[in-house]
Amino acid sequence: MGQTVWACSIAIFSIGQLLGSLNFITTTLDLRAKGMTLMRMPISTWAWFITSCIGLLAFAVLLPACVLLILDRVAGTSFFVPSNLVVSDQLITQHSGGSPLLWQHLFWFFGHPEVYIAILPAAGIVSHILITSYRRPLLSHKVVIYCMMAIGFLSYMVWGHHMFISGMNPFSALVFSFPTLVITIPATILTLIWIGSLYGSNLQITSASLFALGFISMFVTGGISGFFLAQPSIDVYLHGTYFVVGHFHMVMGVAAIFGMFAGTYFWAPKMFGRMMNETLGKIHFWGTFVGTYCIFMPFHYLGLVGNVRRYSAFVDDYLAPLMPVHKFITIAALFTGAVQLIFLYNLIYSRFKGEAAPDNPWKATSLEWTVTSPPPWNNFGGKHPVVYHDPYQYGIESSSGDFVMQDSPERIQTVRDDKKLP
Amino acid sequence: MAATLQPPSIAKIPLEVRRVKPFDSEAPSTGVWVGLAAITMTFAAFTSAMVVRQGSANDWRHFPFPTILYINTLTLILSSVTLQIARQGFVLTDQAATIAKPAMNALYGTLVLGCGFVIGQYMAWHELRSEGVYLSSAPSSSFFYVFTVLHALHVIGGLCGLLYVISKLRRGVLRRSTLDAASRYWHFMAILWLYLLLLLWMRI
Repeated sequence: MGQTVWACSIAIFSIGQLLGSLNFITTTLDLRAKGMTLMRMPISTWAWFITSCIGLLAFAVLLPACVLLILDRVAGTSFFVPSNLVVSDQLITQHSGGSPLLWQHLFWFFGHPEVYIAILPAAGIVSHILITSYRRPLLSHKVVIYCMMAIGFLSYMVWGHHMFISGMNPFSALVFSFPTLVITIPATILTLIWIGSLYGSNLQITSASLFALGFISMFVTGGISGFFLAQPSIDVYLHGTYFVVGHFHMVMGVAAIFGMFAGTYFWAPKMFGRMMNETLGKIHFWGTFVGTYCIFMPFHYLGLVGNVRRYSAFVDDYLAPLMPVHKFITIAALFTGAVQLIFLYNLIYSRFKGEAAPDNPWKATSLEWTVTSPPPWNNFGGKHPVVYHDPYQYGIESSSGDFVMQDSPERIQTVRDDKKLP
Repeated sequence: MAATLQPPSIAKIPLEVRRVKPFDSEAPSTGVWVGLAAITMTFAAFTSAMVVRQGSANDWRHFPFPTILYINTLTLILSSVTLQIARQGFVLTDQAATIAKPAMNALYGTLVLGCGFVIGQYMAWHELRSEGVYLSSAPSSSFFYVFTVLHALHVIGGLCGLLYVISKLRRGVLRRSTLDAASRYWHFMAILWLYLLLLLWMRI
């Protein structure tokens, strides 16, 4: 019963995601402000757009999988339930001939794009915040967008790397391994652009920019262990171990959460009209950053020495020497969890008692900073903004300082023009 | 009717001569394209599941289709034709901002034929049940019911779209892009049905 409700809730969730993606794609394509060409959209908006495109096709596969699963559970069909299945010492007789592997294929065809659905919005938020903190454009914001597109495209060709030990033909494993390794190319370009643009920039240290930089750290650390897992011969050993848990918590779980924290510190003033406390924010960052590494780095070592995952208790003798590592991880996890209370306190306290936020506290250029904090009804108070510039006109001389807002009609010498000068 | 800047009262304009607003946004049209992409992906997933499931065990059972299925097919194709006739009427009269009565009748015809298709599908299920072919009888019948029921649900969605178009039309606030979007969805349902019929005919 509980499992059926769960499957139904996932199906409803899929429908919700499909409609959300549909709304976002259509809005992005058709209902932009005047002058807002696609390439003038901020990277964060681009990331949401690409994420919606991935989600549209990924959830369109999860939904049928859930429909078939629900029918197997309530209508007596045998799509996935095989013959002679024993559950809780009971032989299942009313089903026969189903294919559990079919479920795995359908699920992971959704499941791997889902990883990028989780990480790309964070990557977009982080790119946006980093540019604002660097006070200069990224080396190329178009390349960032193209890399995100490449990641989205490749995400559909790699689902089999979750199934290397499902008994698949070794040649199939090779076919899935190759695009998995190719995906690291756009991911590496993204990382190099983020780090390369830091060189020589006028970095502003804020809670938001710290979390954005922390995101890069998590993304790289978790990404590197992906190289190991992408190779079928190594994955056969590591697949059932804590190595995998450490890998995906770093690269997908915590990195995405760092993106959310960065976005919250960055946009909370716009949402609530009050600044969040920066000191508490920085304490929160360092606690979370150190705590996360203390939790998930040991996971990799546990995995390498063969600590199996998905066990509720470790009673085997060979795992006994690893118990101190588990204890350390538990303490680190409790510590990191406690640090999040600082964030919750900060969020709730500043919501009501925080310092009043100016319209544009971070001296950012995108449209949301042109309106009051919090924004008026209908976001722009019934007016339609007109866009004149690329989203990242930083590091230039203008009447407002070192940046130009997107809706400012001021004529400026763009950075690109500057490079062309002899 | 001469184009006036401010139509005095929509209710006073006879049904045959309703103003069609020129579109002010492509959003409904784009939205339907995006939705069709998702629907295509969904049915592609079902198709691949069916192919894999057929090959994974020896319990596939062939059964003859109810004849009414072919009549339903014709009904659905005919409804697409009437919708296109209705749309042609709108396109021609758009510049004069009026709608001809035959076009309106063709639209109602589409609605009736669409309902006829859904009822016909229900009769097909009923016939199969009376022959002892149930959802859980065999994987082939499971897929048959899944495909036809989900398609019928999508057709009912299309019927809602047509009702929406008609209600907008009756209030005189229909946009071209809304009409185009609804009809594109409707034609897609006919094409999807032809694909499903061919697929089920080959496999079952």
